[in-house]
Amino acid sequence: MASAAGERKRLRCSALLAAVVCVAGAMNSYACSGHDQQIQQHQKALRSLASTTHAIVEAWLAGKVSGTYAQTALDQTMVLIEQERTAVAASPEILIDPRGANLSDAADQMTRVAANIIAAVRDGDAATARHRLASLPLSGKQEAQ
Amino acid sequence: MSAIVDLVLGVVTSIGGFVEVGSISTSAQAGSEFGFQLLWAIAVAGAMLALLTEMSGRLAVMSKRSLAAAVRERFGIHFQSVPLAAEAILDVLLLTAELGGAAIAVKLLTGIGFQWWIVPTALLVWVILWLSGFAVIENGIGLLGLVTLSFVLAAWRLDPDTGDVARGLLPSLPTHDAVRYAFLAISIVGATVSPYLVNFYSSGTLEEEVKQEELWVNTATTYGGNMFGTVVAMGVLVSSAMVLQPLHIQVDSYEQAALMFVPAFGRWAIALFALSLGIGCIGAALEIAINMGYLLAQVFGWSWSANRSRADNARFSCAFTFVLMAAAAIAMIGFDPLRLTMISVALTVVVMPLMVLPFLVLMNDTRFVKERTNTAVGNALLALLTVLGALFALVVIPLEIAGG
Repeated sequence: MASAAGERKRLRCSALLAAVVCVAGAMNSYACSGHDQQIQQHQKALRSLASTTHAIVEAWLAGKVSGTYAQTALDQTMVLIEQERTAVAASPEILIDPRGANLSDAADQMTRVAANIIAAVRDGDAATARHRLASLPLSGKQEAQ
Repeated sequence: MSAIVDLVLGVVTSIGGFVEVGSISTSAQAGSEFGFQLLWAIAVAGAMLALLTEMSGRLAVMSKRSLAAAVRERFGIHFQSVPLAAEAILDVLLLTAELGGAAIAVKLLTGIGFQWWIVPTALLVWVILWLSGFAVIENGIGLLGLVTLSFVLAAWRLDPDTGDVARGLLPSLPTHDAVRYAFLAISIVGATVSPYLVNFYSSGTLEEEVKQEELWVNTATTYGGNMFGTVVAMGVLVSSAMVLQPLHIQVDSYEQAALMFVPAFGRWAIALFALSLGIGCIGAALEIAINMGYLLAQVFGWSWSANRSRADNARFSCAFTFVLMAAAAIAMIGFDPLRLTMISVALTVVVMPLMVLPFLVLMNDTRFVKERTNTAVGNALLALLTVLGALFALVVIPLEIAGG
């Protein structure tokens, strides 16, 4: 009788342990997937901003948009890059991950390159703007090189 | 002949208020992130708005009361206070976003920060409201709003595949980011089915003294006009999908959205985009501000009419002036107009059931609409809209947090 009760208790403990392991696993998996998703979202946002910078500067170089618009749009893009950079740098979970660390470096570099491009557009220096654009990280063209 | 002129003018000018900061931003985001896949959401939202505006116009013609006045009379002030408060908050937020959108349009042309243009824009809106009658406010700005047809022209010039566009009109599951897809679909509905449009339309029907025998003009104007506006909103989505999606540009600012015009219009692109955005936003700002005057006057029983001297409608005039000042003050704080738009659009969805539910009662009450009660089909559609509105209201905030 006592042995049956002990067996039931052992079974209950095992079931409880299994449930805890399952919940912990699920939470870990959710955290990982959430964490992956966060990195992907930041990557997507930064890639979009790099493409925006390309599109603005190329339109300006082709004479399709004015210097006033190019500068205004680049200033706004710079603000958004800075917001993304801060968001990436503010998350220790992202920075621990090698992909997140790379993203943070790319965001830093993007901020510097974008600032140089804005200065070149302000000065009407097409050659420098084109040259800086080639070194903009996360843009399709830079990745192809 | 006069009815035909009214009909054509009504359809053409319905663009004023339809194509504004909310529809431009949600359609541009949808196109840049999901291609043509969310065209169906614009079509559904346009049909929902047409259904509600037709009913509000019919209610006004038959009962000689605006929607707000009819709700007050039928349900009492205690019930009315909830939708009134919700709409007041929402209209101030939307007005702030519209002023911000118009100010950004000027910024795109001048390069001067948008905050500097908030007060001049608000002042321009106020001067138009103070000096003009209803016809100028509705038709004048509506005719200027025809510049937004440049979105349709851009889409046509970009030559999209008609098969792909047609497929976009059928609801389909997204291939990625399902949460974001759902959020954008609901946001498109929120941006289109704004409460102010419905009450503004019923008040306008009273201002224009539409007669019972002209009800067919009301029906044709609402369905024709909303279809016209829907086509323009679809033009935004198609242009964005054709230009921004291949470049992997997500629309996080109006400066990015303006790029959708560059392949179609070259040197004229930014000027045309700025004009479309600016005039669309000023048109909507006029309608929202005066609607707040209408709403408060109709609920509290003050005299109101844009066609009478402002001195004869002192409280009505003070109401739209105060709302404009409040919106300008909030806009001056420096909120990002695009983000504010997306928040306002989500909140519109939250209050949607409060707006739709009274229709079910009013449109079947013979004391208000006499023999022109809803048909069984009209009631079924309205019931469906109420259920959808409640469902959207429940999920929109979690969706905004998860995917916005």
